[in-house]
Parts: sequence; structure tokens; C-alpha cells
Amino acid sequence: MTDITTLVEAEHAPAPGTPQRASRAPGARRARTYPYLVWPVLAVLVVLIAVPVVAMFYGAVQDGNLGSPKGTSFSLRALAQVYLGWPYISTLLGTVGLALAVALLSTAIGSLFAWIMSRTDVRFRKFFELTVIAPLFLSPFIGAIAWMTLGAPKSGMINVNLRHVFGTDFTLIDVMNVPGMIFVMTMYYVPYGYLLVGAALRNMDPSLEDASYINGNGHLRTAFRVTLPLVRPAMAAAFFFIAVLSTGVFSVPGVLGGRDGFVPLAVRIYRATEVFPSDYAVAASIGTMLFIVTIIGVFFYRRAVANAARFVTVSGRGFRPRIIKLGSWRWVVTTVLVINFVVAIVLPYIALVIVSLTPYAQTDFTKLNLSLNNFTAVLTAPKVMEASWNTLLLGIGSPTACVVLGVLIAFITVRSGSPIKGIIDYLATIPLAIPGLVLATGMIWLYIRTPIYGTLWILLVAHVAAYLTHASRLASNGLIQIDKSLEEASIVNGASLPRTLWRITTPLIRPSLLSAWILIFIFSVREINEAIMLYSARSNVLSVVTWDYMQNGQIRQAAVVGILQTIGLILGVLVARYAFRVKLTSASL
Amino acid sequence: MTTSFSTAASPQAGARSVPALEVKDLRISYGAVEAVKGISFTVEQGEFVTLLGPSGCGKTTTLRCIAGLEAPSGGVIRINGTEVASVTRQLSPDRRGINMVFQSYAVWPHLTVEQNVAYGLHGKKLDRSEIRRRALAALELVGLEKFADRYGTELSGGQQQRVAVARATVTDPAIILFDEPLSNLDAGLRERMRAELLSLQRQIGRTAIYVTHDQSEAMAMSDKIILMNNGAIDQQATPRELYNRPRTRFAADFVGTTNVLEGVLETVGERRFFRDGEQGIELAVSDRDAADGAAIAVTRPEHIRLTTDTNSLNALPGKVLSVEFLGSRCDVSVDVPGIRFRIEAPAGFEAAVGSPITVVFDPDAILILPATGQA
Repeated sequence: MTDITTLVEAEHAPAPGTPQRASRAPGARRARTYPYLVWPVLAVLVVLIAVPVVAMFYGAVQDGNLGSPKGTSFSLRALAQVYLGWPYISTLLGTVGLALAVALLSTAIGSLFAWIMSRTDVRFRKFFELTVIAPLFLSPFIGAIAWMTLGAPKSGMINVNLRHVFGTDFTLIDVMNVPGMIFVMTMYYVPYGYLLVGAALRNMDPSLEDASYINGNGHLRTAFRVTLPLVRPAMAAAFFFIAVLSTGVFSVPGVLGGRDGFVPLAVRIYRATEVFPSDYAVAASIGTMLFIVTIIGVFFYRRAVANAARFVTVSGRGFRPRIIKLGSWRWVVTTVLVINFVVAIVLPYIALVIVSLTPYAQTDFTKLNLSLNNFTAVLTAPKVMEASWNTLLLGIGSPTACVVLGVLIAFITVRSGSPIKGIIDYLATIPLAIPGLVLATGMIWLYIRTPIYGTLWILLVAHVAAYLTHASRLASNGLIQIDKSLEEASIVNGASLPRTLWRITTPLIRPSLLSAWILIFIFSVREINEAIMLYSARSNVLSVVTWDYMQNGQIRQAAVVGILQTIGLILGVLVARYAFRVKLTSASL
Repeated sequence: MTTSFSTAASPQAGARSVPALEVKDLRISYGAVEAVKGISFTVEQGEFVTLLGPSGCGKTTTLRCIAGLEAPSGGVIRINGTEVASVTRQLSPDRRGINMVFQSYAVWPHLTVEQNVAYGLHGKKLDRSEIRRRALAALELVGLEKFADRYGTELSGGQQQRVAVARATVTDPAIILFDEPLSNLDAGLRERMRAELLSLQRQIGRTAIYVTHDQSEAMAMSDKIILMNNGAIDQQATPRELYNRPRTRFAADFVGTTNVLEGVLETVGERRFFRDGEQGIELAVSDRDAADGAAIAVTRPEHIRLTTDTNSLNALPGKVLSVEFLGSRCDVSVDVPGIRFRIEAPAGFEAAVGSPITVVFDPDAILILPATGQA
């Protein structure tokens, strides 16, 4: 699984930005411009990314019923309601606070784990590394449902059963509130902190730490005086990246936030469209607010990445950092890692399995009565079968489309001398800053009157727009490492550009493309932020089916679908492992 | 497009008088920086021409522009009389009838040797057996027919080099471009490949343009050397002419070892003297063409004689600084008050460091160059 995770590091490597800047500098080669490739790609990116954002801003200043034939007219009502009223402003502050808290905790925990894994003699390193990273390949939405069944104040399994044990009425744990949201979201963002900081720790010149030891500093002083300052830029990058991601998260607060309690802006957007009377102008206005916040976050993220690049110390491979012997601390460290594993993976999935096997809404283990009836009922339901099929189609279609587009974008930004390649690079990066729900809001305004609205196609378009960046970045990272004469040799041998891209470029960066494909497969299968806005009865997907079950209080059915979806994700990752093995042998040719 | 392709591709199509390549006032700039500053040259059919110069002189840029990998910002390039590149019109590389050997070889690691070589034959409307026949013939030419099924990365550097050459010749290009093809090989192999490349070029009779910064490579292989400096052509000449009659101080310095003196040329009656301004050295020269005034005097190490006889013409007293024995000859450094001369002496030469010695300059072998130019 670590093969796949290197791609998360690769994505955040400062490399993709630098060569483009460098190639604009005087003295760099002026390469060919490929207008027949560049302009169509630009057009696709504009339609995929820029137009929905513009449509959202347009929608924010409209009024009237979006669906009616009369259409809408200009109005500042929604904008005023969102920006000038305390309810939304306070929600904005709460959303930012939530995101910062999640980012802080995830970065801190992730960094600690990264340090433990790279600098100490912790036992079972491979296994624990897997447990720390695993949430990356699982669905936060399903995790939130699982934790709800565990930690809901009245009916949660932990509360119900420990009351028996201790013989009290006490509520031991409550996750249906803001700390609960932070708790669950942190579990799913720790892998990002772990991978980004871990990469910095591995790339650090070990002699920097050795010098500290030789100068008489102990482990603790070295860690805090040398190691920590050196990875601080990477930690800042991880912090802002996680903050941006968690600003736009809808699923976890959607499950754990009560009807009356605090819910962040993303949930507000959903409710504006879902709760009667639906108000798409307000949804778009909240979307603009969220967009501005995440753009600011991305600005800080990019600055942090640039800073981190300064600290990258390229040194000869082959010598490793000094490994600290944990001694009696080993038990503490191991316990912490085991707790993380239990809390993030074991407990939630045990809970899901138990819930899915109980015939009634029953969380009391003393009255447990298991059957497979839920599974047979849910799995044979036509809507679940259709949603599974749709999820699979999206899970294959969107990574494929993203990878094709990603190769073209990478070729343009890395290889061409096109004057507009900077614009293309920028457009392809924007989706990082747009929460899926925000993009989907814009797409509603854009596509409502087109035939693709309400079909699976619009979901495909939305997924491609949202995940394109992963493909283009990984492809660029791959391409940068390939000698450009390999492609030039193809061209001087008489091959056309399409033939060169197909026969030379694509096979050479295949490892990167496979990584991108599987990453986007995972994202697409578990995606809910866009689907919840854009789905229709004809284009339902598993996440939305789960959400509907939750809304109707059918937690057992939701658990079944959640397990089904998780099995799909795990199968995908296993296939990737297999695919990666294929790649490794062919790359070592 | 198709007509220009066929003309460009086949050298026979042009009359004998049409040069294989014509470069006229070629300019290439990156933003504000002009890397190539209006150079012109022609290459005749079957000629082996080398673009020689230090790194950053624009030689590789020029080659890439001929290949079509980069666009000119001014000037015209013609291949067999057909315009292939100008500011307004650029024929894509696959229509120019050229092929290229890259510095990094660029042997595709995911294809076999045979697939590498056959790559350029696809799309030429040949049937499979013909493609295979030609690819194997090209491999045979470079002695790699036994390696046809290996992958590129399973070969040594020299073998990859041969694959690259086979790949560049198999498409029957009008011109083969070489971009420092030997620079990644180690010294012994480099000399062997140098000889092989040259005999291969003679054998197939293709026009070749070769880029290198290695003057000995250029001297050994070329019919003509185009010496470049700072984006401009310094001198175009045959190797012998370039060595014996460099026209600038740069040319004299870059090609071969040179002793350079700065001073003034004077005429006293029938006789001409070169006077070094600072050291007060005076040498008789036989050059009749150069005008009096500030000038540079250039002598090769092999044209300076070491002797103990102080009475010869152009004899100067000096002191031995070092003697390097190189087997077939000795490289001697001599200090003639304030100036260090490099002198080639016979293998039998022996002298203690610090011992006095007389250096004698042959008036016929002192070359007078204009003082203007690079300091």
C-alpha cells in the first residue's frame, strides 16, 4: 500500500511548479508550442473548471425559481442574506475554526507518527505504517456513520454497553457534536500529515542530525532543535492542505451535526438546496464564501510548499538517519499506535458489521441477535444494484478521463513552449481550492437546462473537474523525470505528436499514471460532496444511497451499503497492488 | 506539404549543385536573450560538418533548430533547397527528412533494440517483413544484430550509442544530426566510436552535422568545422586551415594549444617586428599582410625550439619551469621573463627545473592576428 501512498507525497512535491517557472526564465529553451493540442485542452479546462465557478458567482446574484421556465433575474438578495447576516458569518467563523482545529490535530499526530516511523526502532513498523495510512483509502463518510453507531449519546454501542458494565445512566461518549466532528475528521486527515511530513523526514540529510548528536545533544534536544525546525515548512504545508480539505467537507458534519447544532458552510449549502423551499441563489452565495476561504487557504499552502522546497536537502543516498532505541518507551509508543488502529479502523468496522447484521435497531450487546437479512434485503434492492453499477461506472470512467487529460496537461506544462501553458497549469490546479460541493453548486446553475443534467454524465464531468489535478500533477512529476530527448527522438524519427504521446510518453510515465488512476478511483467511489448535489433518481450512487438511508433513520441499511462500498475500495487497492507489481518489473527493464 | 516532404527527404531529388543545408542569418532568442545571433553557413551533399564551440555558444541550439525541435526568431533554413524553417513557417521535424543522434542516446527503455530501430519506419507504408529487414540491416551496420531482442537499458553505453546511430540511419534521412553523441562515453571508447562513426558516415554517404565542444573530435572527423562563440560564427574552415590559420584569438585559443602575446606590429625598412608591450620582447615575423599597430602574435608549441645557442634569430633567454614526459614527446613550460610559454620538445629532451634555456621562435610560424576582439 505504501507504493500508492508515495503518490500523495509526489503530488505535494514542489517540483511541478518549479520547471514551469524556470522555463520562462531567460536562457531556457524555447520549445515548440503545439497550438493544436494546447487550445482544445484549454477549452476543456475552461468548461470543466472556470465556467462552473463563474456560473456560481452568477447564481449568487440571481433570484427566482431555478427550475421554472421563467428563469431567474438579477438580485442581491441572496448575497446580502449570506454576507450581511450574522447566522452565516458566525457559521463561516465556526467552519474556519473547525478546519483549523482538524488541521492542527492531524498535522501534529501525523508528524509524531512520521517521526516515530522514520527515527525510532518501533516494532512492526510495516504493519503500523499501514494502519496509519489506511484511512486515506477508506471513506470518512462511512467512518462518521460507524462512529455515530458507536458514540451517539443515547443509543451508541459504547454508551449502551458500558452502562451495563458500570451500572449507571451516564453518557460516556458523545460524538454528535463539534468535538465529535473534529475527532472523526482528524482520523481521516492524519494520513496526509503523516505522508507529507514523513517525506520531509526521509529527504532530510541525516548528517544534520548526526552533527547535533556529535555536538552533545540528546535525542530530545536533537528532535526539537534540529529535526522539528527542518520539517516545519512541510508541517505548514500539511496544515494548510488539510485545512483547505476540511473546510469543504460535507459528509462528516452532515452525519454528526444535529438538526439544531452547529453545522459548517458545506452542510448549509446542501440544506439550502434540499430543505423546502430550496434556494439555489443562497446555495451559490454560500459557495462563493466557501470558495474565497479555500482560495486563501491554498495561497498559504502554496507559500508553505515553496518554503519547504528551500529546505529540501539532496544528499547521497545509502546512509540512513540514526535510529533511536525506544527502550522502555516502546510500550508507550506501541500502545498509542494500537489505540490509533483500534479507534480509526477496528472499532468503526466492527460496529458497522454488527449494525448491519442486527435485524432491529439494537445496539445492546446483551440482546444481540444477528442475521444476514439486512444484506440480502439491501443488496437485492433495485436502487442499490443500480447505484452500485453507477458507482462502478464512475469509478472507471472518471480516473480514465482524468489520466488522459492529465497526460496532455503534463505534456503541455512540462514540454511545450506554449505561451499559455501557465494558464493551463493554473486552471488545472484550481480544483484543489474548490470544495466538491462548491463546484457542484456552480454546475447546477450551468447545466440545469441541458440534457446532461440529472444523468450520470454530469457526475462524470464533476468528478473529472474535481480530481483532474491529481492526474495532471502526478503525470507532470513523472514527465519531469523523463529525459525529453526520448520524445524528441520519436519526433525526429517521423512520428506525429499523438503517436509520440501514445507510444513513448505514456508508457514511460505509466507508473505515475497507474498511481493517479487508482487514487482517483478511490476518490470517485467514495465521493459524496458532488453526488449529493447533482444526483437524480436515474443517476444514484452508493454514497447517496447511504445518505438517504441515514436521513430515513435506516442505519442498518446504511451500514450494509457502507460495507459494500468499503469492500469495493479495498478491492481497488488490492488490484492496484497487483498492478503496481506489474509496473515494478516492467520499470526495472 | 507532401511535395516539400519528398524533396526534403531525398537528396537525389535536388541537382548536384543544391547544398544539403543552407542556413541564412539564423537567429534564435529566448525572451530577451539572443542565443544565436544571425549565423549563415552551407553544407554540401555528403559533407561532414562540425559545429564546434564552448558550452553556451549556441551550437546545440542551432542543431535543434535545424531538426525542428526549436523555432527560429529570424532567418531561413533550407534542406536540399526546400525551406524548412523561417519565422513564419516551420515544417515539423518528421517532414524535414532528417534524423538525429542525441547526447543521451534517447534509446527508449520500454522497447527492444529492434523496436527502437524500426520505430521510424512505421508510417512509411512498408510491410512488416520489409520493416524488419531494414531494421536488422541497420543493426548489422553497427554490429548489433545479435542484440535485436534486448531492451534498451540492457545495453552498455557504447551499444546504446550504436542503437541510436542505427535508428538515425534507418529512415534514410537526407541529413543526420549528431548532438554531442560521444560526450557520455569514457575516453577509450570515445576514440573507437569516433572512428566507427566516421567510417559509417563515409560508408552510407550521408550528409552529417555534428555538434561537439571537443576540438580533437572535430579535427579528426570533419570536412569542415564551424567554430562558434557567443551565438556567432567565429570561423568556418577545414580542420587544417583552422589549426594553421586561425583568424581570431578565440579560434587560436580554442583549437589546439597556443602561446599568445599581445603587443604592437612594426615595420622597419624591409623587416617586420612584433614587440610585446610589457615585457620588452621583440620578435621578427615574416607576415607581410597584417597592418602595423596593435596586434596579437600566436605560436603553436611545436613551432618553438629549445636550444642552448643564444645567437639565433628570435632567440630569447628563459628558465625551465616544468617538463612533462608524455612518451612520444615532452611538454615543457618555460618562463621568458614574465611570460610562460608552452613548448613541445622531442622525447629525449632533458633539463632540470630552474635551469636556463634559450627559446627560439620561427618567424614563419608566428601568426599575427588583429588585437581587437576578445581579450
